[in-house]
Amino acid sequence: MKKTKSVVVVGSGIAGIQASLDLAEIGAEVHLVEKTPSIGGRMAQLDKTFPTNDCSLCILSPKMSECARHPGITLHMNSELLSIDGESGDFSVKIKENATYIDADKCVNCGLCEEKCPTKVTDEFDAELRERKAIYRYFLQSVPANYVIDPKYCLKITKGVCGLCEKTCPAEAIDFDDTDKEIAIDCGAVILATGIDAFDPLVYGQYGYKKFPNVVTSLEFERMLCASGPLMGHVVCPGNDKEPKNIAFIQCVGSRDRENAKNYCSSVCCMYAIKEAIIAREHIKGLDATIFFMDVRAYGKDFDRYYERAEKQFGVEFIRSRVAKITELPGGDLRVHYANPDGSKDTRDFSLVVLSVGIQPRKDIQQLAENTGIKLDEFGFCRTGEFNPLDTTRPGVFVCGAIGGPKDIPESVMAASGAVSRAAKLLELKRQEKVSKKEFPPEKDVFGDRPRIGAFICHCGINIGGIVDVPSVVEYARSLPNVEHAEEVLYACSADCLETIKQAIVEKNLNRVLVAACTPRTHEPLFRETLREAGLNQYLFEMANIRDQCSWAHMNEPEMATIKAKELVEMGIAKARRLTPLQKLPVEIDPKALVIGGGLAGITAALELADAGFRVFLVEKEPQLGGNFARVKFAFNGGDPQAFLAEKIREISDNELVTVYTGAGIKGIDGYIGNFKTTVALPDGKSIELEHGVVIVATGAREYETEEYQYRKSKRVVTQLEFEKLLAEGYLTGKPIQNIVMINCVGSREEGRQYCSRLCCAQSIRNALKVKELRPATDVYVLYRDIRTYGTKEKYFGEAREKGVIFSRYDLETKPTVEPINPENPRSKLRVTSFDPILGRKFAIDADLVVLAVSIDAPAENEELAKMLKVPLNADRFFLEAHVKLRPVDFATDGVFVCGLAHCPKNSAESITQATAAAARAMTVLNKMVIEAEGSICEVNPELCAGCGLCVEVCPYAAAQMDEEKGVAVINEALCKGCGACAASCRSGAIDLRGFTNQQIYLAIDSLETVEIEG
Amino acid sequence: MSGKLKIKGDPNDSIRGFLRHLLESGKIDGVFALGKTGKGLNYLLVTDKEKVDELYPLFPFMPENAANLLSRLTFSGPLPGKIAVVIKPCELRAFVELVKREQASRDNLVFISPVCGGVLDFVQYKNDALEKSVPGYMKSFAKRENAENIRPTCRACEYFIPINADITVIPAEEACEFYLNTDKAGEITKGAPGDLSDGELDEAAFEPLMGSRKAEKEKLFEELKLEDYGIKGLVEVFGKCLGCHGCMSVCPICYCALCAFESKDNEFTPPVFESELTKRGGLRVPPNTIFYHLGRITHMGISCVGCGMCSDVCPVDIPVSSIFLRSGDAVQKVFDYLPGKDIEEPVPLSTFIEDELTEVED
Repeated sequence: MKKTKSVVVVGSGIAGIQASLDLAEIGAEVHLVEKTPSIGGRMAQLDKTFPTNDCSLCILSPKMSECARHPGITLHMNSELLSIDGESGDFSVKIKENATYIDADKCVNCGLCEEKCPTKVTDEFDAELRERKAIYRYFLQSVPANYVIDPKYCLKITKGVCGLCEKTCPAEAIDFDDTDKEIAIDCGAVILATGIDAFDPLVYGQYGYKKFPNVVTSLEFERMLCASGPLMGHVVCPGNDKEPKNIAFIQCVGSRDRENAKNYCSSVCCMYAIKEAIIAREHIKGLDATIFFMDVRAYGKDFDRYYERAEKQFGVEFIRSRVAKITELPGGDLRVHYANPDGSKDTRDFSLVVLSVGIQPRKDIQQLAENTGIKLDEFGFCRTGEFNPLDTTRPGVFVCGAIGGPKDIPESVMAASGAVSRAAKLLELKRQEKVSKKEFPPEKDVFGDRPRIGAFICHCGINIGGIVDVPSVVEYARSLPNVEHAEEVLYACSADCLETIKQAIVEKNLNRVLVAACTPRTHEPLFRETLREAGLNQYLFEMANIRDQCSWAHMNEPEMATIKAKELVEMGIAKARRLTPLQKLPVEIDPKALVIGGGLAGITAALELADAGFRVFLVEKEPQLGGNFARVKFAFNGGDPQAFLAEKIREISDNELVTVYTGAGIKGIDGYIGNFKTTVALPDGKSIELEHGVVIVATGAREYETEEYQYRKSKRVVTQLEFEKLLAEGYLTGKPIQNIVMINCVGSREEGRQYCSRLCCAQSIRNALKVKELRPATDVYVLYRDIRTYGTKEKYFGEAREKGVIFSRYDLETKPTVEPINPENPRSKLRVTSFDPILGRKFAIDADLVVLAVSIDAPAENEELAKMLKVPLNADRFFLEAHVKLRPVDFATDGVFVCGLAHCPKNSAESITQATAAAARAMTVLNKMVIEAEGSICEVNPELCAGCGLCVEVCPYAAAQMDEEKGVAVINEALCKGCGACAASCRSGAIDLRGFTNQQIYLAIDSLETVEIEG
Repeated sequence: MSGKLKIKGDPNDSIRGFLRHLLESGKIDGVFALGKTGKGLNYLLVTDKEKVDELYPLFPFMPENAANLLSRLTFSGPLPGKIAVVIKPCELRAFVELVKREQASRDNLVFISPVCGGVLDFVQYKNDALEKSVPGYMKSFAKRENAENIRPTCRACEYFIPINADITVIPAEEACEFYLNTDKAGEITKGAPGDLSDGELDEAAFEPLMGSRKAEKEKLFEELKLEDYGIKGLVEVFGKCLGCHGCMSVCPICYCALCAFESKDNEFTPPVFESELTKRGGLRVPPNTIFYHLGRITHMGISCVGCGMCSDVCPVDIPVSSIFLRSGDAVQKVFDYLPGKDIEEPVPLSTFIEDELTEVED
């Protein structure tokens, strides 16, 4: 079998982007296939993200630009997957690139064509709330940013008339002769990340969607809230243009609904509804928000706290009821008809109703399944296994994101990285010797030379030039000291303008460059590269943002915008005078990994890395591998967890790349990415030192040791894991066990443990079903607070009810009680008493056995390990990842990754996914011989340092450390990201951020015209 | 641990007896307290019990904020023996702030601090009038009133009852009361002269003093009108500044090894002068006077204990400490932070809470 570096990723939502970036980072050649004109997917449509309320696009767009810029990624936009032929490791993939009638390389996104285009079309990105033209940009921040023509509506294409855009386009980018193309790609693996559709609520006639204009879907509402959306964030009711007084959210529209073949939970709607309610209240003063729900499924990390804050801090009202119907009142308001818990009927009037629509497989999923030869599950999601959640039924084809079932953003990101690890072993990936694939000329020495600055002022078509008087800014720049060359450019970022800049550097012997254009966030890397190509150090570059700060912010005051542009240019020049060349520090990578914890997650991560050819040390504190998973006896699909575990342990012991240390503890960890040294205490009292390049934390968690409900006092009270052992040992065989009572949320979701332990609802139901399977005559009662069988586990909840498992809800205020019937007899049966809100009264059951779903606790030892690794924990002592949405397996500290229960409660499939992801993230480091640290980093002047240690405390990357001997701070250059937090915190002025030194900043400020400050 | 030890004699006599006993019994190895050198009053560190006679530990005077001195003594590690330290409440608070910033070590120190009636200002010191002022001072303190001739920020100080002291002293003419706040205090006081009984400090007894302090603070802020300053006011007030940096060198919280304002980083080089002059046509030399004071306010405000040293050393009578007290009060309120209260509480600057200061967003 021939091996190739190529891999195809289909779908470029957050999952596809993450998978592509990780693959490219480990050296693969990625073909990213996307149906729409921009990458970004669903996440780009969202306003904010829970539970941090981060702006969705703000956190996504840097990843989008990184993806588009990465030399290892080829984008195939407006393209569809046609077929996959061949075998795992040796596929031939056919895709179709649809004609867009625009040459993306020529288009400079000036927007003139759009102005001229006469044809208006409803815009799908903005959930049909806005009109666009037939020639359009997919959305404002699209990547790639070029315009495309919608052939369904273009008059030239449909009727052969018009063609105004072609006449207007200054870049001659429009090509009506463009045709659809078929492309064949040879690749080793395929990752499917095509995502999901939102449920169309038209089938819920009783809710009046499309009939009553003030009934909207949650996705529409998301666009309404978004500042760059069709309403610019000013929410008004579509029916009457009035600001809403109150909003109702109706949950489970298209979820948990057997009648509409949606017998699964969409997993994300509870949280996004809470988020939308909070954000809406922030937008509109005095707004009331009410959420009609069945169960609040706030099961993820820190979700329950968000739920609690919504209720207590933001006053969001929660009503547990399925809404029967919605009617419209004169004037456009809506009446919601619902039932109270006691069964009585009630109504409530609202200005706006948001239907929290579920997620469903893509319309064309069946077609995709046929084209790719994969099988789907009963709901139409891609079929995967409980213990191999990233593999499809076709070897070599992997999935990530919600195509495999409902997932939120971090789960999609984890699955994406996980799929990368699965795919990587099918590819030919050598360790990369060089940091960059490009060759650059040697850098000119500018030390001691007088600054010779070149200033390039960008029109950005009409984007800047339409407001700011660019020629006068150029004139002004030319008048400033040390400016040797000033020039206006139409599009600074276009290939010909970059060439102009390079020529000017050479011809005028420039040694500093300023570009006044858009934002450095997206464009700085491009210009820096241009400097390198011209033989200048890339840090001799400065950028002034005269688009966002001038032409956008002051579009109605062109004169003031021009003055401000001049000031910003002057500040940039002042700073540029003092720019110095900086070098990126190369850090060599030791290609070995340390995995701490030998449970399911640790074993998975270790095997994934070893399979990819890396040396792994696996350290487990218990005498044997397996962790909590060794106690899991049953699986949902009838699989045998212990057989699976035994197989994995055998694979570990057979794999000579993995060295296992059981009964061993971590005594100390020193070093940094690529170069760690860890001391491991062995059971014989000796200790060894391991050298490795990355660390994966998979230390797991444990069952909470409760003191409630007679646990440890009566032998008839056990935890769910203990119960599994009893069942496996034949507890029910031949014994007249009459009543088993399960109590959920023991320890979870209350004072001290304000989090959901996530897997217990499903675990209780699985064990209840097992009882019904083994002895149908036994009655099983489940006392719960909310049933949180999210995703496709929902069907087991239904199955349990069908099989006669009895569910009764309790509140925190009315917890059940468990007392021995005969206190004298230690073996006495137990009387469980609980209040049922539907019956409206208490009831009692005499139980043979009480099974507690105890919470999952982060062990106290985490604190010690966190200190050694210099990584943070959250309030519940679980390890805190770098970013809860987009970096769910990384730490802010480079080279350290987390997976499994150490991160937060999760089930075995999720642990496997995250562990596989951690392995892939580790590979992005290990598969390089050398990485480059940031060049613009902080340095300490030891003469000025007072050793107060504030910088150590504020550094998010553990780069600032104390040199205890000298009593001064030092910055680890390999870890520093150049955020400058330490420099800002240092009152002695002992820390300077290279490239942003105090002196450079003072000079920039000083260059401003003196403005009289009021007050 | 709580307990009360009553020792007869005037304040300095009674505490000298107490300290002598501690030294004799070997429970401590040294004493750090105010003492006389010639006409002057300075902090002394003594280990010889005979030298205790030279000490005036409870004299209402502050020649230098002791936190500064203790930082110098313990910066590179705890002192080798156990030292009883007699300092004012604000000095103790400043010391705690320095410990938080790794500039001092609390180990091996036993803190004895009086309920403080304020300290006499440098005018009395310069005129050799300290001794004369003491009787009047003690009388006012006995009446729980503000005395004459104390520092303006002392008049406005609400934290005159020590926080974090092992032993709190109430000085009085006839007999002083020593309140034992910690186990450490209980341990070393065993067998000390005087009457030992149960009892806790009755803070309510100091309400009259607290009342006048609060009123004085309000008055001070009212007269200062800092919020109306603006650039113009700053130029007005700090125009008198000679740039001697005395306020910096006496400030206990100003701990930098080398002040940025005295370092090369802040030197104006000829080209900078040139460009500044081209722009403005005139410059004060040396420049950056207001920048210096603003820099100090932003750096020290959060931890300012209002000891008043800076005003007292200012040769041109700029009300530096009143300005610091006012701005410090504002920023401390924002973070609900009282400097020197809790040695475990992190400095607000080093903590990040996601939903903090939402009122300044947008």
